[in-house]
Amino acid sequence: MIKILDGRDASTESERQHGRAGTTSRGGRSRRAFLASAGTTAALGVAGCLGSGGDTVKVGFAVAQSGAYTLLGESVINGFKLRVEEELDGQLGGRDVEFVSQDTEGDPGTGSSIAQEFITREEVDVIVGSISGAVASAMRPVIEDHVDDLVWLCPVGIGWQWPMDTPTDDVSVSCTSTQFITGDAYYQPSAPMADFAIENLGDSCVLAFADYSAGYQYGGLFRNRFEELGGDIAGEVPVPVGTEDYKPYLQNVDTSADFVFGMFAGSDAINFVKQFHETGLHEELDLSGVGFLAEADALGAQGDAAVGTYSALPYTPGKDTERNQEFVEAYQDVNDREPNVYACTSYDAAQVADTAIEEVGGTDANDIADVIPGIEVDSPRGYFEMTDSMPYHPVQDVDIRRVVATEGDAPPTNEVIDTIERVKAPFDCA
Amino acid sequence: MSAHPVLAVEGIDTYYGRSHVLFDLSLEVGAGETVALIGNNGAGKTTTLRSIMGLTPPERGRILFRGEEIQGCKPNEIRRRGVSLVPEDRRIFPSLTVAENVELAAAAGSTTTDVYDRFPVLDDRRDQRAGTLSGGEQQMLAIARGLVGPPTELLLLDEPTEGLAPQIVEDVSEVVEALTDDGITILLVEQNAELALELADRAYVIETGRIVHEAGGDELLHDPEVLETHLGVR
Amino acid sequence: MVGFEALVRATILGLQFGTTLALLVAGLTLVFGLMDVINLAHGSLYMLGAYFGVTLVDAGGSFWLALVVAPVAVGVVGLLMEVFTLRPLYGREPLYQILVTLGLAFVVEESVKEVWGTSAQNFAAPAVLAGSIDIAGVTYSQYQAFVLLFTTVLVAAIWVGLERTNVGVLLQATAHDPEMVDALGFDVSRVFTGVFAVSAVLAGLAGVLLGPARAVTPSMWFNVVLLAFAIIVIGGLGNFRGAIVASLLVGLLTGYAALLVPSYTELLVFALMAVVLLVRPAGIFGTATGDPG
Ligand SMILES: Nc1ncnc2c1ncn2[C@@H]1O[C@H](COP(=O)(O)OP(=O)(O)OP(=O)(O)O)[C@@H](O)[C@H]1O
Ligand SMILES: [Mg+2]
Repeated sequence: MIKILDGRDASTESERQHGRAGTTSRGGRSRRAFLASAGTTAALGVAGCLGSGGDTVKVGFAVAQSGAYTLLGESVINGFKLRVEEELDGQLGGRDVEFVSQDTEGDPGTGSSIAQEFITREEVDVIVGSISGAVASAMRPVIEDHVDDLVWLCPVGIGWQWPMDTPTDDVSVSCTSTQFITGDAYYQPSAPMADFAIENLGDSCVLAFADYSAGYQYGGLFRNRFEELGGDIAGEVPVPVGTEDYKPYLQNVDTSADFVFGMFAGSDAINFVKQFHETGLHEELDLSGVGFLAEADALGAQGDAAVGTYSALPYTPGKDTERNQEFVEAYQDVNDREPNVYACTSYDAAQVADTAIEEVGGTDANDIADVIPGIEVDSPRGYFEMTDSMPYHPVQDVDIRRVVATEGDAPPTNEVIDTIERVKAPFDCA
Repeated sequence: MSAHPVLAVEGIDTYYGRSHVLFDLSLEVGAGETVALIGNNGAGKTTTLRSIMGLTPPERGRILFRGEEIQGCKPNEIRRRGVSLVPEDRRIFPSLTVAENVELAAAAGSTTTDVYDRFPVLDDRRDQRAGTLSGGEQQMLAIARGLVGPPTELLLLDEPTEGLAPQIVEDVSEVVEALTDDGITILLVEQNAELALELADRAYVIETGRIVHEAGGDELLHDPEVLETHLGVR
Repeated sequence: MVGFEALVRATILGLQFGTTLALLVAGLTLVFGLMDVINLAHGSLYMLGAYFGVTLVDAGGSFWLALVVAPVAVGVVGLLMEVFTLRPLYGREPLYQILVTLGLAFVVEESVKEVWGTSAQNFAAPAVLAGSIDIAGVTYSQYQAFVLLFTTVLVAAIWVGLERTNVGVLLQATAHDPEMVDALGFDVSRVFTGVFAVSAVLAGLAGVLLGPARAVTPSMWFNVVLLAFAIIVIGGLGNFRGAIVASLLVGLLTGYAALLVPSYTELLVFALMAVVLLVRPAGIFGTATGDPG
């Protein structure tokens, strides 16, 4: 065992670049890595011999490509590939890229075995995914066993859970040293709305949310921030996930409040917004919510019912900057549709990987993981930088958007009306 | 008798799934005749009527109604040609009223619903739910239902007196006789051989799916050997 | 403390929800009552109604045109389903029909994805009904009030029709003893096809009516089938009146639960189903014979 490692240490520079277990003494983490890998030396040795070889970088997409998350999975793949194939000549950090992808079907069990397969059989250098938080939770332990072997980029699902009603300052989450979130960390699409709302919408709010862990988590982060700013939560309206008829629940909305903060995603967001409008509540209260309450993909289906809805998200396809226009046009050229937020966060994942691999001059996971913290990214959403401590995620500006009607038959769209700057999730690692 | 008998069953074999029930069975019913089909429990009487009605079509052989083959037809087509079944256990629609039972059957054809003259007991109970009628009344309703709708030329009666009190049996026989007088051809299945032979011009005896005897009604009734061996009558 | 006014409002909302459920289960329970087929593709027919609505409105047709044309088109789909996939299976074990209709549900879902894509679609309620009105302290959009009225009238008409008309009598008799009805001279296989097509029309109608208020997605059939199934179990499989009453009951239960214990609403509905199955397996209004009256 020692021999093999010794041998690798003595190997040529180029072998070192591609060998996965070829770490040298780089402080605490690699010592831990060394101990962790001690039990699987043989496997690592083989991995070193048969590694994807040459100068290539292997990227594995573990995202849903069927079921409710299909569109999101496609957006992640398309966003990443747009950066690599259209703008980087098919390379990341000057190395040719090989893609593999597998359908998690939104199922945690499938997700975990895909992660396993990507690591041991495909020997990927980078995993991108998943979409669902539950799938990410299932992938985490598998990836944690192989932190020396690959980097984990998360444009969407993160896989965190914390007890409901935890004060934000006490929230502690599972951290993995190679997990890099390029999307949002639960905090950015929810809490910043409180800053905007207290100034612009009023100090009394009804919280309506999908009755499951993410609903409580996003809702809780907003509530904590809102109360911290002196706001008052006048009522809470939990609604079961997958509800078709929201009207019986909407009766609980206290119309004497100033506005509603809604936390619903996917078709729940569509049903909620439509029926909020249909029951006439929009005439009495403003509607605000997490970013995906009125996300680009949903607006088409929500139609005019969404007009006037406020939401917070780091990225808005209609954002009027040169960088964004460029991105939107390029994306539309290739994919025939407007990018959504996940296309952008995945595009940025490719940017992060490109910069890091370039800087390291190789695909060694530990080396890459060492350089990503603090990295600055020129994203379509605007510049952001990765935090320098775990959990690694972007410190980024958050757009406050308002849905406005468009002329003609086109669906309404989000207009950025305010920006909350440099938002960072105040979470500790468990 | 016209050129064709009203009904000619020619060598049919009928199965329930894989169990063979009727074996090369033949019988004929001439116009205006009342013919009885008698036999023990499980002999195949009901199955014979079901075969004729198209409910359990035979796999081999032919069934001719007025000279035309009907063995491939669906029950509703056979009914519209003029064959009507009054089934074993009556099978009236219990949740419907008497009038609804009659009107429903009438709606399948053009004849009037005016059967109440023939069945005064029903006339008094038009709005009563059929399920609440007495056994005799239910039997009358079943027969009435078989007479409305498409014009009935051949009536298949499956044990119309089963489970009825002697007085009511009498009433039912009167109805059957009246039908015969009106020129309706009848194929009558009965376990009550004595009654059957009284009503019928001719009779067939069926045993385990085969016709074993055919004779004029009186003839059978007075043949002690037949009565004893085939019908268990002493 | 929940006030009187809130209870009144919950009652109204519950009844309103109940009537939409009634429209959704009416066809399902008719088909089961007559043909003993648990049609798991019923939700798919509902979904098709909504998608046809999307296309017709997009193509410049009015909502009212869609309200007529889409259900008829769904009826045609239902007719083809019955003739080509179900008819050969009558008289077999129910498992065959469950498998076939489930298969059809997936076929429809995949076809919808092919034709309309995976993202949610939308079509708007008619502009004439854009305003809102107040009934007993509850604000309704005029469209919602229209749906409530339309649905109530339609369901009541079916109810009365089943009891009072000749067709209703025929259907009751067929549910009780299809063989006998055939022997009386009615082509029962046509009755089956007709009922299945009408059930599809009702599902399609529900799709167009509810579409403007809901997300039109390729997976919208599933929750609908689940809930509709729970309701017909509660009402007594195949029992039409039972299914309608159960719809209103489940609507009210949802209305009150959403007011008092919102997190337990779904649980309560399925708990009610489980209790009914344990205590009265034939359903609250079920009879041993399973006839639909
Ligand atoms: N649906 C069925 N499936 C299988 N076998 C059947 C079925 N119906 C009847 N049989 C069998 O066919 C045979 C003839 O039955 P059928 O009912 O014709 O007799 P039957 O003469 O009418 O008797 P009964 O006087 O008791 O009415 C019997 O052995 C019976 O068990
Ligand atoms: Mg019999």
